[in-house]
Amino acid sequence: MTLSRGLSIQDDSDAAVVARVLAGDSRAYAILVARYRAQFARYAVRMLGAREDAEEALQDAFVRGYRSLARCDDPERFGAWLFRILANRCRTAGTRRGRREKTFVRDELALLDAAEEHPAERNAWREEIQRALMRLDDDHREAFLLKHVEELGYDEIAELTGVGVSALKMRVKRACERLRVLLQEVHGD
Amino acid sequence: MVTERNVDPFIDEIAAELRRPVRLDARFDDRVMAAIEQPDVIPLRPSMMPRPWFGRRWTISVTPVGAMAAAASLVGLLALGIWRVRDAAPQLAADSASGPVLTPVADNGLQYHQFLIVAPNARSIMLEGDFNDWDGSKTELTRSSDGVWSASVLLRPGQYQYQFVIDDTLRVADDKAPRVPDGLGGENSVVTISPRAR
Repeated sequence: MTLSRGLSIQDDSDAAVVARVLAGDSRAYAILVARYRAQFARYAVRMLGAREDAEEALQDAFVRGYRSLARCDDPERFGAWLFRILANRCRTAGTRRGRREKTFVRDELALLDAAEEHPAERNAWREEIQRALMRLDDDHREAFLLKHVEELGYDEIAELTGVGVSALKMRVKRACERLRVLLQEVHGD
Repeated sequence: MVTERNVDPFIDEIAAELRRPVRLDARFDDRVMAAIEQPDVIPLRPSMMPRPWFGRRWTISVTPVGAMAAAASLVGLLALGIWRVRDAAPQLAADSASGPVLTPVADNGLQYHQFLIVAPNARSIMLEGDFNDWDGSKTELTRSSDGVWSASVLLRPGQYQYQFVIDDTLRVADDKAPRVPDGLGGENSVVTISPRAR
């Protein structure tokens, strides 16, 4: 995944759009929202497990990003900067939620994914993956998603989270081991 | 960026499923744009950003009598050969029209605000807020012997929301400051920095 640039909604670079917003064209911020919305929504949903929580965190991140836009030191990497804000908000939301819901409603998951045809078995498998993911410690889930789903390098994850590379590798390793155990339990392998 | 490629087919399969796109509420973009257009959400302009002391523009106010006295003092010091730099205070740029440097009476509005929280049993406390992109790692509070944690942050006049993060896990609002809903079921504290009277 490239965080420095998302979908090309318009030809303007992130830096050009940021400059427009800072010059007073607040509506131009919609370009950045459209550019990064899908990419970041996926992370938030996987991290928080519930679409409602994910949308709240994502909206909050976009609003905070707008409010702090002048503090974005490298506007060309707006995406990476905003993703850091989102990751922080997901951590906050995850901590607040605590034990309130480590599970999610089956019907809710059906709403999560973009509409497409797939067999029931596949859908059930996806539910089990998300359920297993939510049983990981928050730190482990975060590290796993950033490494294997968002496909960031460890150096990038370290910069994003403030956690050392060695600790991150351990978290990812443990997350993989735990997912394997949880999902193999489901299949009885 | 892909650096270390996973070679575990099982994990690859899981990751591939998790990479599938998700669907957001169709009105999501509209909600975001409506939120940012609230009157209290104003992006700071670059010209409003804090600058380091050496980059600030200082305004010097000198009365004629003061200027004469200062000039006399300066001449006296030079004549006695005891001129020296006493400390690392900002070297204020005085142009020829301003006369000698005396005391800065105005700056660009930056003010230190001290954040305090009493938590004798905490192991660490970070400060997250609008002023540091909600990244607690940038602002760590220091503990005094009586269990009071504090941090001073340089802020421009304006309103900022913030929280304390205790032991990397517990996020709390400041009970000595006004609070507002944070949209995530909790509360943020609000600090207002007023412009200095001139």
